[in-house]
Amino acid sequence: MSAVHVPLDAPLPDDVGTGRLSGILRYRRWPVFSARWLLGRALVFGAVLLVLAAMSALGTAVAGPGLEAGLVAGGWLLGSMMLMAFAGPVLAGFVRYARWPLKRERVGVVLAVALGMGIAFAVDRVGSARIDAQIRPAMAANAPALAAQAREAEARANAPWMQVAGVGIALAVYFALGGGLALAGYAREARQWEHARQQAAMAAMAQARREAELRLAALQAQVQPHFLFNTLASIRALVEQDPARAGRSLEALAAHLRATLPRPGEDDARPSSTVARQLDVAASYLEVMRLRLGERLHVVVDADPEARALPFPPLLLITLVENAITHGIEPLRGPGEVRVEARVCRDGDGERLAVSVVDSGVGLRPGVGGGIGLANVRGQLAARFGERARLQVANRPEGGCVARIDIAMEALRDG
Amino acid sequence: MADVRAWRLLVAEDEAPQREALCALLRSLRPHAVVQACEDGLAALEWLDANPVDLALLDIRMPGASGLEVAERVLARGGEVVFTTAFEAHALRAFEQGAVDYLLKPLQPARVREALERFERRRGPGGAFPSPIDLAGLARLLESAAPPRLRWINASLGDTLRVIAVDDVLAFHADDKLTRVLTAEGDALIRAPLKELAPRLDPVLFWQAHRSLIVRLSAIDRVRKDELGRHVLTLKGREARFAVSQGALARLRTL
Repeated sequence: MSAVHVPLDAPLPDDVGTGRLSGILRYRRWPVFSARWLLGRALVFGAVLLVLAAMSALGTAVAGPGLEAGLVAGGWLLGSMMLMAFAGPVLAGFVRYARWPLKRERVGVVLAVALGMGIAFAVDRVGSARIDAQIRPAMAANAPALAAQAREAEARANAPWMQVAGVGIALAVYFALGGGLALAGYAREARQWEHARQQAAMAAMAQARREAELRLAALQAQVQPHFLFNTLASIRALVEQDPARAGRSLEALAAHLRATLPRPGEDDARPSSTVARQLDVAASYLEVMRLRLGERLHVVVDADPEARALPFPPLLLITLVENAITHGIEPLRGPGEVRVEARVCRDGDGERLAVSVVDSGVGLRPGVGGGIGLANVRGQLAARFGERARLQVANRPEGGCVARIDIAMEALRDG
Repeated sequence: MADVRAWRLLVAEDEAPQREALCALLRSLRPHAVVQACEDGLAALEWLDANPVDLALLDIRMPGASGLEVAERVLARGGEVVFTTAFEAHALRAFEQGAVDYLLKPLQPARVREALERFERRRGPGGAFPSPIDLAGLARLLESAAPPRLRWINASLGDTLRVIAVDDVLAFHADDKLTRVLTAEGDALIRAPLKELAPRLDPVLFWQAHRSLIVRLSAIDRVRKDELGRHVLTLKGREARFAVSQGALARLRTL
């Protein structure tokens, strides 16, 4: 897998950023040195440095040099520290936005931060000199004791070991302030981004496989072999007994297959359909069954135009209709009716689509079972719509059974 | 000549065109046979009450009574059966294993004739008497070997019988010879005993807390000791307390 640039205009995924950062550290969710990262860091550093500068200004003012000198010194402190903190990161940001090849970008970012540290050093020199120049004369005039202390401290600092320690501390400060820690974050981010990308690719592959399996299962489930062969047997028998009815049965079977089998080029990653199309599948199935069962079966399909236009997942309605035939009508001696309805309901439960299959068959009998059909319908509804959809199957007081799917309209629109 | 014998044949098939076509075919193959057509399982059983049958050709799925029930009566009366089926992979396996004769739909005349000839060889001089068919075993095979995982329960909740998904069940509680099914929407009673349900429930989701209680793990509010040192369990959103056995507790700890 080839390495790829981290996009700079989006927050990092959670498993790349350092956990769930909140509050003032939110900026660290963005790629290191990106514009949003720099802005967030500037606000945090700026706030801290502003407090330091204010304290310094106040201290200077109180110590003697006066308010004006204090403010100027504080301003210099704030400005120079901000420049120290951001020269490197801003340069590194330019490097990242240049979208160089990754290897060159890494070298460039390190050089940018190093250059920033060099600038920080220079700025520190100039800034300190300016602050000294601002404070010292006033201090010497107003607070000779303090000035003497400062001179003594300076003399101590000129001792060789103190100079070495001073350079070390200064380097550490430049490094930390000037984006050295961010550099570590940059290196980590690249590694973790690559890892996350691989994880995502693997998850996508697993997902694609699951969906392929689902499509295959759906394809197999769409035309039940038992239904198909029994229909062929029926047509085979009708060819001699009643050629006209054999012809109608063949047409009905063709219409059902056309409504059911996926159309070329339509094989989306996520199978979707509409109420109208699922009603066609159900109606064509019922028409085949009506021709097979003869006078025994009466079929009604009734739907609002508004409901017909709504999206609706495949395989749910046909499963309920097949159940009504197999468990309701087929075991029934004598005639029966299957009624398929789709309506948009607006009442106390909110706006929702209600699709129901009502049969006048033998009804549910008490007992337990392991049939997979209803479980699949329920599982598919839960996976797509969660709590916002439900399936109810119950006997009707007047005999037979009703199976009903309710889906909240807003869930249908997002789903 | 085998075909002069007046075999008493029975055809049970609920779809009229297929039934008539098969009867016509049988009459043309064995003009001396007496062919009785029945439009469903109950009609076939009624016919068998009064009339002996040599060979019955039975659809498996029929209104009234299934092909297996009719077959039982045919065999009891000394007849033989051939099943007809459109496509049921597990049924075909069951027939093969049970050495039961069957025909695939759409029926092919040549296959029907072969089935008749097989039957006549068995009945003819020197023919082997058919081995008894294990119908109970066949029924088990048709239902597939192991009872499938429990997915739904038909039971009365309120005043209507309805389908309760096992996913909605909080607990099963033995209640005399019945089992009480506890759900968020109310309780229902079913006839199946708890020990029949237990092996059909997902052990990852359900836990047998006591001889008389199987509970959904995610529905448990808490398990604690009562004043007498016995463990009792409460379900989320419910007052009732249920006893927990020591053995069950040990099993819970290993989960």
